[in-house]
Amino acid sequence: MTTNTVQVPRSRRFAVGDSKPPTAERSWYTYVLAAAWILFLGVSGLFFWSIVSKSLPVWQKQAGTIITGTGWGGPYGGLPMIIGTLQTSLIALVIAVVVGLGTAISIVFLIPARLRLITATIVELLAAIPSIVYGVWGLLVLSPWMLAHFYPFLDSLGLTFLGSSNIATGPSILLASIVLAVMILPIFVSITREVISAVPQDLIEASLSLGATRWQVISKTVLPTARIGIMGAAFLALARATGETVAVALTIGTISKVQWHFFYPGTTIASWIATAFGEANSNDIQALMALGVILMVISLGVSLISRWFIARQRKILAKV
Amino acid sequence: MTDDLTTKTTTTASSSGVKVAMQLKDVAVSFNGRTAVRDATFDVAANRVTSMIGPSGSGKTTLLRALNRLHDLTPGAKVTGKILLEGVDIYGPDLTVTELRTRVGMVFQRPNPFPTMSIYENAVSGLRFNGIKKKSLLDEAAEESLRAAALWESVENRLNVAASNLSGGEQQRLCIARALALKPEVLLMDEPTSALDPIATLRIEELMSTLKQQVTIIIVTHNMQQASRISDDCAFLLMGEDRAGELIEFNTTEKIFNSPIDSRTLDYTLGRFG
Amino acid sequence: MTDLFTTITTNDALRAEIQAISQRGRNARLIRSRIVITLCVIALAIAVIPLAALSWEIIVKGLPVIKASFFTQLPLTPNLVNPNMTGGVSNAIVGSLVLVLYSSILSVPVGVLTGIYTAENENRTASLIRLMAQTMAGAPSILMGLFAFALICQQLGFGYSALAGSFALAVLMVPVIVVATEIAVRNVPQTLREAGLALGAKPHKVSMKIVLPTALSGIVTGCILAISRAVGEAAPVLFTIGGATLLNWKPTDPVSALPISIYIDAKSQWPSLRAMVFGIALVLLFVVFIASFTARFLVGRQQRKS
Repeated sequence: MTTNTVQVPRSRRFAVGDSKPPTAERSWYTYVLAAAWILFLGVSGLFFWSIVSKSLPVWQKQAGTIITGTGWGGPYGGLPMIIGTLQTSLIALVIAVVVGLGTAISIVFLIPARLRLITATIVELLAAIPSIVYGVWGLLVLSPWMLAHFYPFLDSLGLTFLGSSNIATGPSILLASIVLAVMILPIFVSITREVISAVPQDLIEASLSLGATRWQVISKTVLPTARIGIMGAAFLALARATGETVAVALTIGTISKVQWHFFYPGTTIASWIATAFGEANSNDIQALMALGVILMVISLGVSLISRWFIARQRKILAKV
Repeated sequence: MTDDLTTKTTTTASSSGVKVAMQLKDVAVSFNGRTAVRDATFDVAANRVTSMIGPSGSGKTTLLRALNRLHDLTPGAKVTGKILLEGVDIYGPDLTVTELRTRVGMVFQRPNPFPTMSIYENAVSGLRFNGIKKKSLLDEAAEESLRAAALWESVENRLNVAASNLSGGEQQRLCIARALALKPEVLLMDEPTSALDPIATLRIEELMSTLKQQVTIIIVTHNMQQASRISDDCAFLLMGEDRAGELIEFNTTEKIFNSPIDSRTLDYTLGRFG
Repeated sequence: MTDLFTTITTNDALRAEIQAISQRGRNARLIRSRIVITLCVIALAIAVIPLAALSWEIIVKGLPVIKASFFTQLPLTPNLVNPNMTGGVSNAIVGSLVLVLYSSILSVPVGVLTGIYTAENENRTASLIRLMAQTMAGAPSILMGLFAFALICQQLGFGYSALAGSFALAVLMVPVIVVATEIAVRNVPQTLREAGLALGAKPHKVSMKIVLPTALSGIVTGCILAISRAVGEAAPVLFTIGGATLLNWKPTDPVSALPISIYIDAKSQWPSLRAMVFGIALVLLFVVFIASFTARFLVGRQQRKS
C-alpha cells in the first residue's frame, strides 16, 4: 500500500540503458525487457479500448439517457448509480477525513514513540484486509447491530422524522458509506501521516517558541503547510471509494433508484455492475460496459486530481 | 584542569552591577540518561549580547534550547538545575510554558518564516497565537517589529506578499521581527547567520547591536570572529571526556578572547582546535 | 537618537498591552488545546476499533466453522430436512490456489521485467509505462473483471474459466509489481553498480549479477503483496470464473474462489451458510496477514542489510 506512494527523487535515478551499448552487446537482455514492457503497454491499452468499444453501441444509441435516465432496460439509465456512487463515497470521505485527520495527528504528534509503530501497523493492516471481508462484517455484524441499537437509539432521541422506526432491512446507503469509510480510512491516514510528518521540525519549533499551544502548532502551522497533500490523500481515498465493489454490493441493497433517504437501500455503479451482470443479456452487458466507462472516468479523474495534489505538496515541501 | 573551580566562582562576578535577565545554576540537559551538557552556571546580563561558543558537540545549542523549554518536545529529554527568568524558575509552577516562550523568543539556524503566510501574517503570527485580534494593535506591533528588524522600508509596500518571496537575509530578519513582535525580554538566536551570505550576515550583526537596547540577546555561534565582534559576554563550552558538553569559562567577551583563565579557552580562541 | 527614544517608549506601552491580552486568554487556549488533542486521540481509538471488532467477530464466529470437512468437502446446499448441511469449501480453496498460480505466471515475469526496464531507463517510454502503471493501479478492480470478460470470455471464446479470472487478477497485479520492482531496483546503491561497471562488466551483466540479487527481496515483497491482494479480490473474478462447485484446475475450466464463496454465502437465506462465511473470511484474513507480515519482515531485513 505504502510502496505506491514512495517516490524516488529524480536525481537518484540512473540510466544504464542510456549508455547505448553497441547493438551486438544489447543481446537477449534488452529484447526480453522490451517484450515485457510492450506486452504491458499493449494489455493496458487493450484494457481501456476493450471496455470502451464494448459499450460503443450504448453511446451511439442513448448517450444522454445512460447518464440522466433512471430506468434499467429499454433505454438504460445510470443516474441512480452515478448519484449513489457520489453519495456513498462522499459520506464515507467525510467520516474518513474527520476520523483520519485525528488519527494521523495522534500518530505523528501525540502518542508516545513506543505506540507509534504499533498503531501505524494496525492502520496499515486495515488496508490489507480484503474488501469482501469488510462487506461481510458490514452485512452480518454491523447491520444487525445498527438495526438492534442505532436506529432504536435515534428513535429514542425522538428523531422519528428521519424514518428510522420504519427500517425493515439492514442494507442502506448509510451502512455502505460506513463500511466504505472504514475501508478508505487507512489510505487517507497513511498518506496524511507521511505529509504531516514531512513538515519541517523547525517550523513547529518556531510556532512553539512564539507561545503557540500544541493545538495551535497543529492547526496554524502543520495543517496549513500540509493542506495540499492532505487534499491529495482525501482524493486518493475518494477514488478508492468510488470504485469499491463487493463490500458495497453486500451492504447497499442494490435498488436502481435515486435514493435520498440514507437509511434506505440504493446502489452504486460498481455494485450495480457486480449484481446485474449475473442475469445480463447482451444488451444489458453493453449498458454495464457503458457504466464501466463512466466509473473509469470518475475514478481515474479523481485519482488524477489526487496525484496532482500530492506532486504539488512535494514541491511545496521541497521549497520550505 | 584545576582552574575549573576558579572559573566557576568567577562566572557571576563579571556582570555584577548590571541588571540580570536570566540566571543559570548548574544546568544540565540529558537525553535518555545520557548527559549532553552540564555544569552551566552563569548570569545573562540584561540589554547585552551574550554569546555561547565552542566546538560542535559542546552542547551550546542544547543549552540554548533549554532556555525556552524546547526540550519539552523531545521524549527522554531532562533538564536539571535551575534556570531563572527575572528570578522566576522557568520550569516551576509560576510560569506556564507558553508564557515563558512569549517572553523568551527564538530565532533559528535556517530562516523559517511560515510558508503559508504573508509577510504581515508572519510578523503578527506570535500575537495571533496569543489571542491578540485587535487590528490596530496588530498593525502597530507589525510595523514596530519590522522597523526594529530593519525590514520595514523594503517590505512596507508588499506586506501581503508570501514570505517566501524574500531573500534569505530578509527572511531571517522577518523571523527576528516575528519574535520581536511579542516584545520578549530575551531573544535566543541559534546560529542565526549560518545559512546566510556574508553581506546578509553583516546586516544581522549590525541589527543585533541596536536591538540589545530593547531586548537581551543570547546567541549561539560557531564563528569566533562573530562572537568577538558582537557579544559583550561570552560562554565557552567544550566536550568533556565522556562526550558531554560542559561550561569551561564565562566572562566578558573581551576577557575570554584576550586574557582567558582556562588554557583550553586560549587554545580554542587561538584556533588550536575545534 | 530621538527616533530610537520614541521607539523605546511606545515599546513599553505596547508590551504591557500585548502581555495583558495574552495573559487573559492563556488558560482558555491551553484548555482548548487539551480538548482538541483529546478528540484527536479519541479519533485514533475510533480508527483502531474496526480492526479489533472485525478481527474479533471473525475469529470468534469463524473458528467453530473450521473443521476437517471445511477443507476437504465440496459445498452442499442445505434443505429443510438438513438445514445445517453445508459441506466444505474445497472447491474454492483449490480455485483460489489455481487462480493465484496462473495469475502469478501471467503477471510476475511481465511486471518484474517491466519494472526493471523503468528503473534502468530514463526516457519517454519509461515515463509512459510509469504513468500507465500508476493509472492501472488506481483503476477500480471491477473494471478488470469487465475487461477479462470482454476479452477472454467473449472475444477469445474461453467462456467462464480459470484463465479469464487469472487474467483479470494478473491485470490487477502487474502495476503493483511494476511499481514495487522499480523502487527495489532503484534502491540498490549506485556505488555497487559503479563497482561492477568499473570492473569492466557489461551493463546487462551488472544488472543480472549484482543489481537484481540485491533488489530481490524488495521484488519478492512486491509480488507477495500483489498476490495477497489478488487472493482477496472478489470483483475481478465475480463474472469471469463461473463459480464451479467442482474441483477444477485446468485453465479452461470454470473454478470458484474464496471471496466468491463468501459473496454468495453471505447473501444466502440459510443461517448455516451465513455462518460458513466467517470461517472462509478467517482463512482469507489469515492468508493476508501472513503475507503482510512476511512482506514487512523482508522489508525490515533489507533495511538492516543496507
